[in-house]
Amino acid sequence: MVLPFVHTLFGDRQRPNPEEHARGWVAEFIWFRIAAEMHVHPERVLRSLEGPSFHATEPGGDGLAIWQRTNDAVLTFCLWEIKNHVGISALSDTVSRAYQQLDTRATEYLAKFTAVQAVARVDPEVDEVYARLVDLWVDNSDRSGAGVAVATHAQLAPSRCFSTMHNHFPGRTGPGQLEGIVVAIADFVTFTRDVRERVWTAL
Amino acid sequence: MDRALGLDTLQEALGTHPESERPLPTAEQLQELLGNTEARLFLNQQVLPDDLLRTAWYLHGVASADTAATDYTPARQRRAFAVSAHIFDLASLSDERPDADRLKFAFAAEVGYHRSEAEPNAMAVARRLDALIRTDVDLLDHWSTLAVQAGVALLGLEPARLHTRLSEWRRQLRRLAATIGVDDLTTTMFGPTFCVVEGVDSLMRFLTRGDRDELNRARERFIIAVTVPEGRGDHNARWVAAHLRFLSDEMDAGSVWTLLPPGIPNSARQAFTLTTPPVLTLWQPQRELLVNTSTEPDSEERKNAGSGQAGSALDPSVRRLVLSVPTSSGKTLLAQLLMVAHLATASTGVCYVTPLRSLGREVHRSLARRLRIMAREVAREEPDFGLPEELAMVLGTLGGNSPAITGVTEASVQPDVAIMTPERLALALREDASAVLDRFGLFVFDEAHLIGERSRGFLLESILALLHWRTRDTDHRIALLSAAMGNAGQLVSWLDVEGGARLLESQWRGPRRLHAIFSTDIDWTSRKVETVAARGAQAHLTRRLRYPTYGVVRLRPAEHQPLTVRTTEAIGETCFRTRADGISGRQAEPSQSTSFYRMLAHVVRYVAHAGPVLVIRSTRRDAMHMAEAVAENLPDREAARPLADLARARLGAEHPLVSVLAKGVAYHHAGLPVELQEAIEEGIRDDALQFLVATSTLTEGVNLPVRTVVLAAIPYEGQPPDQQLVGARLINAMGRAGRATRESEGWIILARAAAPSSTDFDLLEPDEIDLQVRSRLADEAALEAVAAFEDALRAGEDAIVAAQGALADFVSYLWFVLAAEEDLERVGEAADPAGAFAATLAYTQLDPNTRERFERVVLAISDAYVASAPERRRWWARAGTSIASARLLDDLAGEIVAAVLAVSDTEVSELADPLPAVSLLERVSVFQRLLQLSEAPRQRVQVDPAELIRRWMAGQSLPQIADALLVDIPDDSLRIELLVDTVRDFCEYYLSWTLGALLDQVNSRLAKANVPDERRLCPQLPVFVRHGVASAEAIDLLTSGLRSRELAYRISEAARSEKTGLDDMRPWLGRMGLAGWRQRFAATAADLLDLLEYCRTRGANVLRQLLSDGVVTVTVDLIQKSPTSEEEPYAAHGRSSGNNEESQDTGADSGAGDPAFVRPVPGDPRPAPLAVFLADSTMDAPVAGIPASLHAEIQAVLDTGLDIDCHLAGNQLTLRLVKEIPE
Repeated sequence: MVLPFVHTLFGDRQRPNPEEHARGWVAEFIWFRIAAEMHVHPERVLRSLEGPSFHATEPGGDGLAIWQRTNDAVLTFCLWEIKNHVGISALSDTVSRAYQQLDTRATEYLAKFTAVQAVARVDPEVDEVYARLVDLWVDNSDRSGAGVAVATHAQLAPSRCFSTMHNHFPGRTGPGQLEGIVVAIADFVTFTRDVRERVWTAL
Repeated sequence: MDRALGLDTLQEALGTHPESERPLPTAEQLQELLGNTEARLFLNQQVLPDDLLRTAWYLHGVASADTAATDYTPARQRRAFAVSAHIFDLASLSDERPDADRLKFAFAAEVGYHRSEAEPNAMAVARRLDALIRTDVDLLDHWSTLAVQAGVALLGLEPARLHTRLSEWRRQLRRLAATIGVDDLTTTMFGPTFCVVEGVDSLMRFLTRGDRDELNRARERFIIAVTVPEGRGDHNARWVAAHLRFLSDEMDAGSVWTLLPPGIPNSARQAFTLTTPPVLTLWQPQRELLVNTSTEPDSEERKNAGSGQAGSALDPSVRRLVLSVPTSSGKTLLAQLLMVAHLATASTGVCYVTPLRSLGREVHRSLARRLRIMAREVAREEPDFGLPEELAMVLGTLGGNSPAITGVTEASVQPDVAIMTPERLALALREDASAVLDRFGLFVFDEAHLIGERSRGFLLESILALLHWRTRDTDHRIALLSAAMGNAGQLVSWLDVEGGARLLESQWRGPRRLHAIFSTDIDWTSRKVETVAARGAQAHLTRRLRYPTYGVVRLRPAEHQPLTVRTTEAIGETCFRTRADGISGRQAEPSQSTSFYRMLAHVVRYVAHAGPVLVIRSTRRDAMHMAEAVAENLPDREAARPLADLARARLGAEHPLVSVLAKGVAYHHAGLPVELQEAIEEGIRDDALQFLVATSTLTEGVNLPVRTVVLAAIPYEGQPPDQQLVGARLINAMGRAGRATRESEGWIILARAAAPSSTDFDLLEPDEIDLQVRSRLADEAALEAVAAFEDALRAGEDAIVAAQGALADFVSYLWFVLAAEEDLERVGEAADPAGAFAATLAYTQLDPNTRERFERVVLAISDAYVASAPERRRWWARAGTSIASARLLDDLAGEIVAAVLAVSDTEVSELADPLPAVSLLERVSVFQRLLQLSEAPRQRVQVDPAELIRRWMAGQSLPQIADALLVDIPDDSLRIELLVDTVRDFCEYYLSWTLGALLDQVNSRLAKANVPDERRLCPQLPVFVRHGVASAEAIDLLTSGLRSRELAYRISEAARSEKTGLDDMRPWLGRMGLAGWRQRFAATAADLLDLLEYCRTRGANVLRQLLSDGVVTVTVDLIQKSPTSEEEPYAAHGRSSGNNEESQDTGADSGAGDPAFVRPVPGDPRPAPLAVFLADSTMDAPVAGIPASLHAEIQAVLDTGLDIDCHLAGNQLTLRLVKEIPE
């Protein structure tokens, strides 16, 4: 009964999806949980969160968080690109690729959500942000932010990360306009396989 | 120039932005990016810069935003959709990108096109991406793109194709639900995709059948797809659903279900949605027609737009309508809407008039399909000339009504639409104008700008004037259509009746255009020097310099500055002769240089990568040579082989057309047989041909869209003005570029054998003055003729006889008006010829002084009419010639009567036969004397007319006649060409016309003299001369849509040898079936389609009955299972197919029998016979054949894409509409 659901994310034992896909999906899911848990923050409140796509292979723009600043009640958003890093190359390469994809594919991701929200209408304040997403993004409005999250092995986790992010998004200089998360898991590859195995046990 | 990419449009779409480090392109930069991309596409390089794509998504975001939540104006959003659609369209072209990306781009492009009123481009995108819409893979292997596929397929608006796909997708989704153990998938992660597929299915059901419950269901499904919590991670499906939610409203508003006025029955709507090509939503000009045709922006009508019938041009109060819309904007559909709406609401028929016979045939075919669903028929084709009774006499159908009015057809079915040339309508009016007006309530004149044409323009004007004049106070409606009327407003004023005239003028068209100029460029830095042995005047020029010459194409997309591309290799040489020093005395040497057209041929071949190419040349010779140059080095093209075979059969193996056709190249001009011309046109439309080179005559009227039009018609001295590529001809030629619904862009290349100039692109903008429709009476020649007329009057001469040119036509028009008045017992002062003059276009265009001079001409004509003998003057009007010629014909008739009376009693029975009749006419020198009349066409070659007629009526092929009569002309191509010209001008046109008039008078006189009926001179002769056959059976076939004279002849001979009479022709042919027609008559695919239409049971109404009753039963031919039989298993066996219309019923016990389905027999060449297969049988063999008489009807049912449940019980096949697809 659950086979179709599992199949689409992980494949099955006979025909597993590529591990890269599974890691990507796990990384996005972890980010989604972290973002959801951070819904209350001293400086902002989470008003809406768009989670990862069911189709993990789609590049560029993996998550969208709409916040309300506590000081002036203005709604802002942050567009997230989520990556996983397990190889021997430098983590900075993965992060750089994330910057680039976010930059080139942001308008696509945002435009689609604008279209969806025009039908899904929730509340006028949030709707206003959705309706103006692409303009806020291309104009580097202080209501727009970029975020990159990377899930990796604990031993690959750097002490410093995202230090050049401002060079890739030079217009976003305000507080909270650039965000980064590194999720360090002891053995990310094994962890992903473990997740997949546990899911497969339901078959 | 494509205004969609103008700077203003781009600026408005982009909006204004603060300075930033990563800005969007400015309007200028965006225009340049697009221009460069378009230029690369021309070179077949599909590269799209990331910046362009980023901008497209930005614009898509702006356009898609909830208007209530932003300050974006609707105009900006519309432009943003338009520009983004253009970019996404380009992006979807690249086959280097992943399929998933291309599908997304395609859907975004389609949405943008739909929401910026460029629907045909959306359909074109869907057709191009068709291969990415999959039903042959497991659902879970492509469900990430399934919703996008469904969206792309929906917006392609091809219901039958979509239906097949939806059936499979829905079946897979149901299986998935069963696997998961749920009733439906809505509240699973598959919910959005599931809801999109279901919503698309419902929306398509609404669009095809008008079921508003389905529309509401579609809307609900799309909203659920967007909002269902379990599906939030299916971003693409939600995106698709969101757009389809908006589009469902827009498609509803643009559908025939909403737009056609409420009083029109649903069958009229189904005539558009359930026939081929399906029309599910209307385009902008069509919406304008139905909603509001006022040109006043603040008019009450515009304010009331959308509220029922307010402002609709279909309103009966709109008695005069002028539609001026470009080619590729759905002009044909506009006409069809008018006609169908009229038939659905009025008790009178429709007369559609086109000066172009092939356009008439095309309209006939497409309209017949639409009308069938309304249980209406189109009248058979009647010859332009020959009096109306003649055809009826041939076919033995002369009844109470005049056949010119009713159209000759089966007694049981009254045709509702007659398609005529102006000549045919003029003839019918002369015969009985009142009967014409009783029969038809709507007259549609297509290609109305031809009023200004030199040879036939005034005929068209005079018909319009007459109808306008006679229907001032009646409910009759007249509509004029054209793609090239620069003064449409003036035409509206001309036809206005108490404010009841409307103008619909639009510049809207689907595919955008890219303009280009081709020229050559000599490389002066590189040359070869040869020493030549010179003699004569050039003896001193002993050196030849050969310079490599390159092709240069300047491209201008939108308002962009032209971009220049140059061929990478030389495409020819340019040669000069000089003295021995290689410098002095330089003279161009064209005989050694590569011809310009040969260099152009390289570019023509190159641009074919994007689609078919039409090249326009000035002369027939030019067209042939160009085609040969294009065909050089091309491989044989399999798809073109049937066409080459047809040409070989009709023209002989040595004819130059045969060899180029084999390579997918054709040339087309009036010197080819009509049958072949139409086959070539069809070949371009269905992609069997890649290249067509034609003279400019082709571009008028015929629906012949291509990807690229190359204008290479170099004007020559003495070229007739009507053949020059200016004004309406230029507009029409350029209008062929870009096939609406098949591609979103067309290219127009102007070939210039001159140095490039900055004004070259201006040549693609026709002069306003050239687009003015001017009466022929208002031109210089007519004014000179008026002066001559006045001189003759002053000199006391017979001015009526002396009238020349358009003035002679005017005299004939007034003469006819006076005769028609006399029919109504209005003679002398009671008649109103001045009113008939005031009804002409000329009257509105002449200055007051000239108008007064014409009024004096009118008085003179009236006086001459009254002074003539009553019997003779009325017949002169009926003849349709000038009055001078009518008098001569009248005299000639007297001589023929004497000759007929002199025939001995023993030979009198032969007079009714065509060949003895020709001999008698020959004895009175009729043919020589007819050739001396002013109306006689110019003879390009001397041929004995009687001998030509004999051979022509005997069914000889064109090569046979040419070989016999034009033996002195050695060139195969020229010989055939001259014969085709002669046959067309004399047999099909002039002689059938004048013989018709003459024999009518001869036999009338014989009747009035109480001469016994058997002493009549073959009244059918003009019809036989027109069609080139001499039997009723062949005439029946040819006037029922069969295009091939030779096939008609073969069939009629076979029928006669088997003693099959006219009444039994249809069942006799039907029993043979497609296989029999192929085998016995060597029928081509086009012939087979014609024969299927011929054999179709009139009034069978299978589809109509299915739609109204939900079920219909037909009798099929069970296949006799005989293992030894070598006969085609699915051919009819004559057991039951004779009168199938009688065996139809409403299927009281339908549903009984074995589940079955109907499809074409696999493996048979197209068109394949339709056969019945049992659904639960493992055998892939048919159990019954669909009789030929029902083939077209059943095919029409299959083409609808409706869910049909079939059961076979004995030889009764029951078809039932089903709401839901079976599990």
